[in-house]
Amino acid sequence: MSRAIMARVFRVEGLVKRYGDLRAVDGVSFEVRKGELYGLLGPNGAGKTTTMSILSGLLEPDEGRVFFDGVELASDPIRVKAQLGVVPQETALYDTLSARENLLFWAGLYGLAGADRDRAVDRALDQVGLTGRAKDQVRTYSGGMKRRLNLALGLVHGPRAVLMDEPTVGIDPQARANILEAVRAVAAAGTTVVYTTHYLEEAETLCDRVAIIDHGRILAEGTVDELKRRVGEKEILTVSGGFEVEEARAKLAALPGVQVVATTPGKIVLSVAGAGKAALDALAGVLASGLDLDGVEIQPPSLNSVFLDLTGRELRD
Amino acid sequence: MRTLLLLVGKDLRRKARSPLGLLIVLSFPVVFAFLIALSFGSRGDRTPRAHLLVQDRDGGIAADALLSALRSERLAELVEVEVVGPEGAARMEKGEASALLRIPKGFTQNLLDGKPVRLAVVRNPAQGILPEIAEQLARVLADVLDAGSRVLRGPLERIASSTRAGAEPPTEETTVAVALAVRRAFEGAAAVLSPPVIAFDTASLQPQPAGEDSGSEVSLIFLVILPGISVYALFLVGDLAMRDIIAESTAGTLRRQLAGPIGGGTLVLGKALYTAVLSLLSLGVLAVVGAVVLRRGVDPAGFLLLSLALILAVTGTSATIYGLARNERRGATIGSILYLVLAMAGGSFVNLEGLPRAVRAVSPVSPFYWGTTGYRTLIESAGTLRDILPNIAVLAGLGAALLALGGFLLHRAARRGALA
Repeated sequence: MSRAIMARVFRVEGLVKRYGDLRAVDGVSFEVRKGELYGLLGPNGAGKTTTMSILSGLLEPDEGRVFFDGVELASDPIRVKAQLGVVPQETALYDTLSARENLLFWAGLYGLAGADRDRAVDRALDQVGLTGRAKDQVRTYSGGMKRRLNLALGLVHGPRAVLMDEPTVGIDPQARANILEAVRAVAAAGTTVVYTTHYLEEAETLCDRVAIIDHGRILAEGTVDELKRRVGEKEILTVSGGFEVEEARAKLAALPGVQVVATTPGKIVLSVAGAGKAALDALAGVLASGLDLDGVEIQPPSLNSVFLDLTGRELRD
Repeated sequence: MRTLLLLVGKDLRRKARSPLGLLIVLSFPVVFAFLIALSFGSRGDRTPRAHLLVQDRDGGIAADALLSALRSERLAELVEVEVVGPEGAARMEKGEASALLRIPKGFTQNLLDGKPVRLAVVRNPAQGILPEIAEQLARVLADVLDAGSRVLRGPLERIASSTRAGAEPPTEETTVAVALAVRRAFEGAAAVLSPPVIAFDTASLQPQPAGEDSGSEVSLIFLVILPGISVYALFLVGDLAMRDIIAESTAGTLRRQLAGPIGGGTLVLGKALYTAVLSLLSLGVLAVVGAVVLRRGVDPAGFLLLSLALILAVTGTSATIYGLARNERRGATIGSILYLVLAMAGGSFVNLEGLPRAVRAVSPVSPFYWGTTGYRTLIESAGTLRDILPNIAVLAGLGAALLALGGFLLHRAARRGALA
């Protein structure tokens, strides 16, 4: 977090993308500053990938505009896209080519040639730890290696900003750790990164700022600490047991300062206004309610409790 | 231009690493023509005919009828009949004919008497499928005689009695009665009667080593078959190459390229150029094979321009198919059916003269027609550029129009994100 945060690189204004009656992106606006690692956190189907597709020039929005360094993407897409790197969710590689051949092709596509291209390829291979397997055909790679190469392809031309769409989905913890390390290194080198994820811990540990997105809308935005402070004056209590949900809802909602956030069979999530004594009072009220209880959990403030507070759902649901 | 070269180079490298599909398509015309050549053998005619020797030991009216039918105008396209004496067997041993049909003595009388008779066929296996054709023709005609002899059993008995030695010639009343009986028999007879009166004995000679001229015979078959099949194969190569744009879309690499600093138009153009280059390489391979097998020179300018026009047509057609299909499986299905229909209608598989008149009338609609007839003109008739100018003009015009249409459709799909 010691990187210098400078002028804004991305400016996104009122993006809307409709598919029939569905508004996949519904008025999304945000800004990303130079050198910043900006996260879009939300569940599957929240509109993250659609937003990234618009940012990378693959989709035209129905409404809204995207600016990169003051240049509107729609007015000069080739110029903007030349300065971006894209790491898609799926591993988009040529399986019958080697890692080096893949990188040479993509570097060439972005205008690198000759010795510059060779150096860029060597650097990218080193960046993701694939130098030793550079000449092997990609089809012989493990899933984790393919993911690392997928990342390298988005970095090989030395972009000013990189759009990473859930680059760690579906891989083992070791490969995931390697990729996250590489992402940190990219950001540390001053490259702006826009990173989508539905993993809370990734957003918490990786991103300078996070936008929480759901149903195509940004619900909250800020640093992780800022977001946590939004629920800082509230405690989240998760009550589980063999009770009737509607009966329990009625009893618990009547407690002072308590709001029912979400209910599922055998589980009720409560938000308690005010920290400390208010939470203890609420806990006492829950215990005295006469409900058939299995347990009560008090969650410390986290991005999950922020999401819960904002949407009434847990992010992992 | 640099980007286009980069795109084409990448695709060619990928194809070189995974060439099986291309090799199968390229080997198809050669293998197909070779199999046809092996099957038909040849005596050097454009359309090979079976050479059937007939040893008539009977000389009666039934044998005459059989011979007459075999020599009919329609069957003459398929079989050349030669009546031989006892030397027939020796000629078969020398491999001079496809088959020998022996009509035994007493064939007519036994047939008229309703007694079983046997025809003998000796086949020459060295001539591939031709002996089979000869035998089957003889069988069909024998079946006709067989059915006729059963249906007309009554009248035939009356005729038979008048044909025996020393019998009185038939009176007018007898003739009228026989005619009426024939008519009634035809009206009341069942279509199929069994067991057959006429049976066949089939024998094959030991295969003979190929003669010195077998190479040229095969060449003649290649001459007939290769141009059309090669045109068909070339369209398959084009389909294979252009299909790659959908395959890349499925794999996500197209989406990744579109996120880069190149437009959708450049991508489509790159794929079209790759299709053209792959078609050109394939045509080069087929031309070399053709030159080796056929050993005939062609007008180089005509060949080159016709090939370029054909490649334009191939590229345009495949671009249009995948511009409309936008789905690998759908495109491949549409392409396979369309190419098969166009190749059939265009005379790529059989000579145009062999097609029904209605199909011949629509043949010029097919680009296969212009490609196939163009190459045939150059190879078979030693035609020049002047002779095939219409072919070149039609293929180039059609190709340019289809390429514009296909390019537009693919570009629009890319711009709308349908390919990404």
